Amino acid sequence: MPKKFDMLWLYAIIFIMFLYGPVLLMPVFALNDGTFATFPLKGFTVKNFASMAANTSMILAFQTSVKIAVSVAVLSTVLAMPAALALTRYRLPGGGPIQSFMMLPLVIPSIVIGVALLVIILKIFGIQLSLWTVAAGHVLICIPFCMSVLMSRLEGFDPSLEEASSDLGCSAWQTFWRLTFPLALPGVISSLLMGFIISFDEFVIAFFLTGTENTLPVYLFSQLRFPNKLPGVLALGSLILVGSAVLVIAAEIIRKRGAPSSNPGDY
Amino acid sequence: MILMLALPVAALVLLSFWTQNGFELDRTLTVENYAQLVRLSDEPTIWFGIPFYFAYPVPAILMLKSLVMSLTATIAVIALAYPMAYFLAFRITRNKAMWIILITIPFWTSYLLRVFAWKVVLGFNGAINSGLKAIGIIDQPLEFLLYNPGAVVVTLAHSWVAFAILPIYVSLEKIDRSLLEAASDLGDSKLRRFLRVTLPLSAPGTVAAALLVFIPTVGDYVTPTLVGGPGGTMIGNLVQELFLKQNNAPLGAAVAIMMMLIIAVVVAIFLWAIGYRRIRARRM
Amino acid sequence: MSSDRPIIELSDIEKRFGSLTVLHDINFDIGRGEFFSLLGASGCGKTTLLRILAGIEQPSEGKLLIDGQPMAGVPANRRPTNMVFQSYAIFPHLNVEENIGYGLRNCPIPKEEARARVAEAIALVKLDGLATRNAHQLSGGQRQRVALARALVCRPKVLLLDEPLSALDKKLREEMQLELRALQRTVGITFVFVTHDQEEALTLSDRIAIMAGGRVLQIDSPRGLYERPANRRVAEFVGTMNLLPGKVKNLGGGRARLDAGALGAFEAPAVSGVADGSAGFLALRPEKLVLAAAGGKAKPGALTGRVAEAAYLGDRIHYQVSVDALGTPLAVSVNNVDGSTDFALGAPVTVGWAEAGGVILGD
Repeated sequence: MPKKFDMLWLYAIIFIMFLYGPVLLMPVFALNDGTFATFPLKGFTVKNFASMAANTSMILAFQTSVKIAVSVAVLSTVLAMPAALALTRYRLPGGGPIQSFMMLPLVIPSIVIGVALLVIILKIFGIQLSLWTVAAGHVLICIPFCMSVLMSRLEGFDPSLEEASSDLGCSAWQTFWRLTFPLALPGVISSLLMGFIISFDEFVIAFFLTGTENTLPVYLFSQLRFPNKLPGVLALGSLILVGSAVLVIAAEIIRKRGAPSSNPGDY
Repeated sequence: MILMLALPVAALVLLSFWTQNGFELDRTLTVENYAQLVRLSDEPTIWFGIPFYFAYPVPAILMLKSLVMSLTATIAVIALAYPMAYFLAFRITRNKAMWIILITIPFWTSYLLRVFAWKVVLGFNGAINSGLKAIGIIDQPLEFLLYNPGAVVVTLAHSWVAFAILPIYVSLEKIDRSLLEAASDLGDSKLRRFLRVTLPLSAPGTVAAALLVFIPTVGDYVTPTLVGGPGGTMIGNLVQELFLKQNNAPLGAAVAIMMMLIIAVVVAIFLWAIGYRRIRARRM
Repeated sequence: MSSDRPIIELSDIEKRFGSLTVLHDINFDIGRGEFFSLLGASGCGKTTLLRILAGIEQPSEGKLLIDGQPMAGVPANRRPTNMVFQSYAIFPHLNVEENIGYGLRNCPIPKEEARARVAEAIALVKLDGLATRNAHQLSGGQRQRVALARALVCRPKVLLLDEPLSALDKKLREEMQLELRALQRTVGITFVFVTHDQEEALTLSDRIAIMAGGRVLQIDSPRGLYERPANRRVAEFVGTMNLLPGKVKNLGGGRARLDAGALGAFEAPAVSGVADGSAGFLALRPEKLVLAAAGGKAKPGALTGRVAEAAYLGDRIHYQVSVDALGTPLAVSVNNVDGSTDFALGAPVTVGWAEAGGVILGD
């Protein structure tokens, strides 16, 4: 129990309720035996979840999303790693501006990124829209997140660790594989998870860049218009929420756990 | 790497100087699209009593509306997030990581679904209406809940509030606790101490949080589409419509570019007005 | 290659970071098997010089030879040097054994020998039983030993130590000083030791280079530095020194006379390079001074003053004696043998010294 229960505690609890309330209504209604998301609840059922198994277009969209999300996670982590290394290890001239530039996708409205990519892909390169174009768009928005995760991991290290490795006879390549990579591993894993989650949940860019195949959020969006599909959407939404939450918690735990601080005297 | 980011934006800029001619794309460079956005007309279009002297007033009206809605949502987000960040930084001593995960999970779960959840809450047959009806407070569903700018602002605030907590929390957490003790020692009451020490020192994180919310929400597309209805459309909807429905990508590009420029100007004015450089320089 | 050639030869080394020159005109040699210290305040360039030896930094100008080989363009991982870092830089993802064996993976030696060498190194630094301990489970002293073993296991020609004892508490530091000295005698490797702690440098070193402002002020044995500092800056840096200012008259034969105006004139041995007629100092260590009650039998050339401050240290008593015509009070340190050296505050005293106890040096 908190030592002091006061207004701030009360506020925190109300805040958490506000934060989670609307989202948690979804599984509540998904498990409700009724066609509308309305109170009073009619009764408990799992038929909305059971019927998902028969929904081939949804399963197809799910598979598509997983494929894209996995490739995006790997690609953006691989691309973010050297950038994160360069920015944390070497005081690059103009490192500050480069860093802020890299973070641009965080603040540009995703619709602008979506249409900009649409333009370059269709009008400039004349490439057909496909899952690859969606993946490319997702890599672009994932890189800043992956970079900040990797950088916060890499920044914590004593720079003399790498000097020590070099002093003990390791080339730059050996130092990377024997020292930097193992130390950054928790960051790499959470970067992968983060890339996966962002790509899996992303809608606007996928909506603009997808060809004939749908990702799961695009599929979901197309279903939102039909009231009779509501229970199915609620069931699907609940599963996505639970899945995302599990992944986020896993990413956080791995990040927090990682090798302990490298500072001397820090036990 | 930088190319990957710069190229699409450059392409967008280039496209905005082309024109759409039926199904053909006219590749001669022209400022026609921008001219169309700012061309004046003698007959003003009145929107909420504000006269717009534009021949094609839709973008200007939507832009202003989007800015006002985003600003309202941003103020709401900061007002909601600051006490929570304060709570995390100063009141939580154990299980801090758990609390932070608890706060951040919603941000990582699907944006689409979080917005959709509000539709479920506010809808004509939604949770609020049916709930209130069930306990007998109202007879008829309250129609004003969904499909209006208010619903968009509420949903935006809810969607982004978790994101805003982190920067504020970090700047509060960084404050040396002995500074607070020193302020008390020098005779400040709790409130004065908060106003004279805590608030100024957490300003950089708060400003960053406000920008991180304001900038992306101006161009948001999902929220107004799902919960905005006809009255709650924003500039992002116009961009989408021009690109995908009206098949006038160059004009859409011009609108997108103008939107970003206006956002940049608003942000610059804001930062100048609060003296952000000074605030940052104060940080040790 | 002759074995009496110095292991390290530095000529005209200069190091600039942008427009800032942090090392000027570094010229000296370090002999084989020497325990050599670089002593100076922080920012004097001593760590930069050590990093140049390690190959982590490159000199802007000048030549560095290690074991007769030019080191220009030789990266840190190809140099016959190993370093003990100030932070120890213990790899946090590896245990004690793996940390110590890290460098051996880069040597062309069979696995069994590598294992034997690690075991030997663990025994050498007295870490027996901790081989599989994780890095973060080690105390400060243990980390220091791991860092030492890790650097020694590769059998470098030169071991570089960057303030390795500064993170330890006083008692542990004194213990480690003795161990370090013993270890150096055991392995016979040249040690180059960076420190800002003069006592540590005096205790450990065969020779010490005093550095300030990116320059080497003097290189000498601990005794030489202490007894015959080359100039005022060295004298003030090493230990406490009383300086009586005046004008130098060279008497030849390594002796000089200092005319200190109202204080009188003093003859004493002079360090080399003190020019006739220039401004100089008579330098007197506090422990070379003798206190006596005023009015008693004053020694020749003695000064008279009053006790301004007294600090009782147990084995010794430190006095500050203010002398008319001398701006700063004299520091006097006397052995606490019997009651004869007790003086009350304000008591009039005479301060004397044996003629060979002082030295005349330049600015």
